[in-house]
Amino acid sequence: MKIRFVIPLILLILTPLGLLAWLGVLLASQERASVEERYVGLIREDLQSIALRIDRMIEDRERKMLSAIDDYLAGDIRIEDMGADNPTVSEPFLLDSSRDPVYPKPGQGHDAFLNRTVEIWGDPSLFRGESGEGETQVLRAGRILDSNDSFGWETWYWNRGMNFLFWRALPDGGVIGFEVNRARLIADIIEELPDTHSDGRPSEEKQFRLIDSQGKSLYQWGAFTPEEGSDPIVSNNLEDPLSSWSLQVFAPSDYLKSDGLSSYAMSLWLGLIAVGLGLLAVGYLVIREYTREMREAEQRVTFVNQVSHELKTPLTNIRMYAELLQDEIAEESPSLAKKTRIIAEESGRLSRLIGNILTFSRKERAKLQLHFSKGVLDETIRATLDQFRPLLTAKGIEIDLDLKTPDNVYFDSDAVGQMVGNLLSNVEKYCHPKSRVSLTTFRKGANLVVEIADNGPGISKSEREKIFRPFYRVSNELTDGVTGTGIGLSISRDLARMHGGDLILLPSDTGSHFRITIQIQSIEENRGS
Amino acid sequence: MKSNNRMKTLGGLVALLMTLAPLAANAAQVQLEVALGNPVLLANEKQTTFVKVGLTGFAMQSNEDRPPVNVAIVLDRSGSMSGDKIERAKEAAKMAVDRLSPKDIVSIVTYDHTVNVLLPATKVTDKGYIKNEISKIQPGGNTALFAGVSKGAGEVRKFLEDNRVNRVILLSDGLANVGPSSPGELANLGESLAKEGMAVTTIGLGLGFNEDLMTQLAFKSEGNHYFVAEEAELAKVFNTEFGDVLSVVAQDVVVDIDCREGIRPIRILDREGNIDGQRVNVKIPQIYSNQQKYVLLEVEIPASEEGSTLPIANVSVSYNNMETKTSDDLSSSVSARFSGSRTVVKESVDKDVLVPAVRSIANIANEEAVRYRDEGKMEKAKEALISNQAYLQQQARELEAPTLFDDADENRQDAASLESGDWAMRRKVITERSYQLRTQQQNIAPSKN
Repeated sequence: MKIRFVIPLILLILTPLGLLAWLGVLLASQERASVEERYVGLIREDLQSIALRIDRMIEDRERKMLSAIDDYLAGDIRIEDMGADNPTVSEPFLLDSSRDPVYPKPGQGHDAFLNRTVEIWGDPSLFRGESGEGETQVLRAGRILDSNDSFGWETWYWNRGMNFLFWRALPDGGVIGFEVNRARLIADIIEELPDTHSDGRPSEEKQFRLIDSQGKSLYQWGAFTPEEGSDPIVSNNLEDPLSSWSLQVFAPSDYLKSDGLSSYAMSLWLGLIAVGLGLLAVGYLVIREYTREMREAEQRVTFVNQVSHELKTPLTNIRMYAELLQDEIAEESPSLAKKTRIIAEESGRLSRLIGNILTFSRKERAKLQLHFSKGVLDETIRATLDQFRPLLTAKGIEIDLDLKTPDNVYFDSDAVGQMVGNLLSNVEKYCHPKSRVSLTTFRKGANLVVEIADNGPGISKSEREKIFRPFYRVSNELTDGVTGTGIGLSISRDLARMHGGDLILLPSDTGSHFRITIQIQSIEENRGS
Repeated sequence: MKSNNRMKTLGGLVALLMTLAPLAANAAQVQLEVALGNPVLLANEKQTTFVKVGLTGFAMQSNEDRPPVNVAIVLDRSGSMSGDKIERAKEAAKMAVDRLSPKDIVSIVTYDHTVNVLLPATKVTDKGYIKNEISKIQPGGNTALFAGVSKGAGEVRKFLEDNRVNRVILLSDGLANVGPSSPGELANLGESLAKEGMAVTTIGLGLGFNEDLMTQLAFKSEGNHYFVAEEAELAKVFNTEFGDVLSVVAQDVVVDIDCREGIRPIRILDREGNIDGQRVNVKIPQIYSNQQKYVLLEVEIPASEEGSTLPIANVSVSYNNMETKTSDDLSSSVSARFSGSRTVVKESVDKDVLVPAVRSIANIANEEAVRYRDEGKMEKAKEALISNQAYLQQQARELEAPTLFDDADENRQDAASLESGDWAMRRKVITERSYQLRTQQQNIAPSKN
């Protein structure tokens, strides 16, 4: 297949394919983005429901602590016993209205507690609910409170992290409450969270983490182990008072693939391949059709070539024997000589015709070659002219000769003979009787020039280039009824160009003026090579 | 006559009941003994002595009477447990399960950096199934010790009841590195579990675990603590532990010591408790059969006349009797006599009170020495240990107590290891010894070299 088919074929396939692929990728990435959103959305919902569970657990603990405080306020227990059987709390405390501890006092065995809480005491801005908060707290922990009855959580940082105090305001302006057992709070949260079973279920390929305010992991669950320093795909903070703690989810970087997204990519690829194959098939069929016609054309040319070859040999024989006959009969009988002459001339014409065809077909098959040999151009011209002289004279066309290349040069005399023969043949075909044709040869630098000019009908401007096209014949009333194949000028020009020159039609007012230029190598140069 | 016969039968019946009643009453009760270190004190001198409140668990009538057990076995399956360690742990756990009966509840929790409730709390009816689940344990990653204990406690909590022995048994070989990991945090967790009536026993395997974390976790609930150097010993340790678990006779013991007028309570040795004026209150989580737990209270006695008797304290104890499933109350009191003769005073010394007192005091000093060593203060640590050794030896001679000589020898070895490469191991030994003394843990694991 010729190269000039391959490029359009490639373009034919790649362009729509490329377009489709681009569209497909666009769609796929949109699809992926929406799947990702949905997936992340689901996980976020999951985290929110977990956060809610934890929040309810906190509310439950609040209820229990408030209940213990109620017991104290009712006088049922002493302050030091408050919360003694409540695992959620560590130390009870009682503050006055300026937020200084009334209980415990130093030296009562709770000095460690006082030491770690020393930052908080004496600050009147703490342990106060925001105004109006009392209303919202009516719903909290399922208790009915009036707006004066406030409670809440104070947090402060000590040692290992965030610590919690749960407090309730007293009518006298004081505050009562508990230090919450932070470790127990974490343990209670862990109780609400799932454990991990290493079944190796691929759908469980996630890891959830509960993170404290310093980013430290408090608890982890899930079968996946993320790389150090990788980021979570979803993060969700807990509710107050744990709002600086968060839940994070980690998943492998290709977590979406397992969701059938790879099958989407698969079908995309399959689709593209199918279209590509389809286009390939179409392209192939189109080219096959085209090349079939070309092949058939080629076959025809080859056939013609074969035929011409077959004709050439017997014809050569006929000419040879005709010329021999001419020589022998010339003296004996004028009427025989004339008949023989006609045989020789017609077979010569046939020869030239076949020569043209063969040249043409060789040209088509790129097998045309020139054969250089030593010779004199003028002699070739005269020899060719001799073949046409009888015909021209019979038609009353006068010949002028001006030959000025008598030197020995290297050139293809057969090619020159064919070219000149074609031109003279045209003169013979198209010129009226009593016309003139002149043949001129001269040297011009490295070229030899042969000019054939006549004063025949000439060639109109619009046809000056067309005549060199194969099979083209000027069609006007003058030439109708004139035979010819229309390839003469075409092959002559090809031959001239192969010879390093050209065949051109010079502008002229009367008739046609053709100039053949051929490049020659002088004997001296040739010898050197 | 008829009425006479009736009277006789009635009388006989009453007599029978009266002989039986004490039997019934005494058949299953903790034995309370209150004693003074110096029952006879020197007259006309203000001085201090020790009050020991001893509680000895009774023997169960029969194995069927023992209280049902509600235990969670929490096993470390971090990477460092791979190989022989995890296999031995699994074996030990299976053997422990074999000792339980269908009235008991067991759960198995394993952890690496995540927690797996391998077997949720369930009645021990299908031992084969339980042991099969244990076989499946595979070693993995890091150590989420806190979470493991939390989940284990959660399983125990499902069936938490006063009438059951509720316990979490933790086995770990390494440092906690996921979640709360400091001794303080684990201590807080242990304290909250103790409040619920759950005990935590900790078993530390190898040299990689944090003994402070493990002992502090167990301390508030007075669970047992064991340092197991070789995994081959695990089965024995589990056996020992389950021996305790299956022999709890009393829980939620509350000891009230009411010091009489003039008597000033100074400090409670080696235990946590409340001193509020004249009242001293100590809680003891559980008592095992045939084992004694005690409270040592140092008191100040005012100068008193020779020949006089001074009431020192009234002691009342209440606890849950695990056999009868009722609450028992015990009470006793103790007084001191005064003599002008030092000899009499010396001869009346009660070794059963003073030897434990000396050991407790020495224990406190040992713990201080370890703290010095932790801070890098080698010289001070050595000093503390050597002066302790001297103290023990002196007391050993005075009280004629060979146990104290042994203790002194241990001190010498401790001092020798202070600066050797052996210290990591020795520290675990010391911590275990110290803990077991504090909590009067008697079922001790096989000795280590």
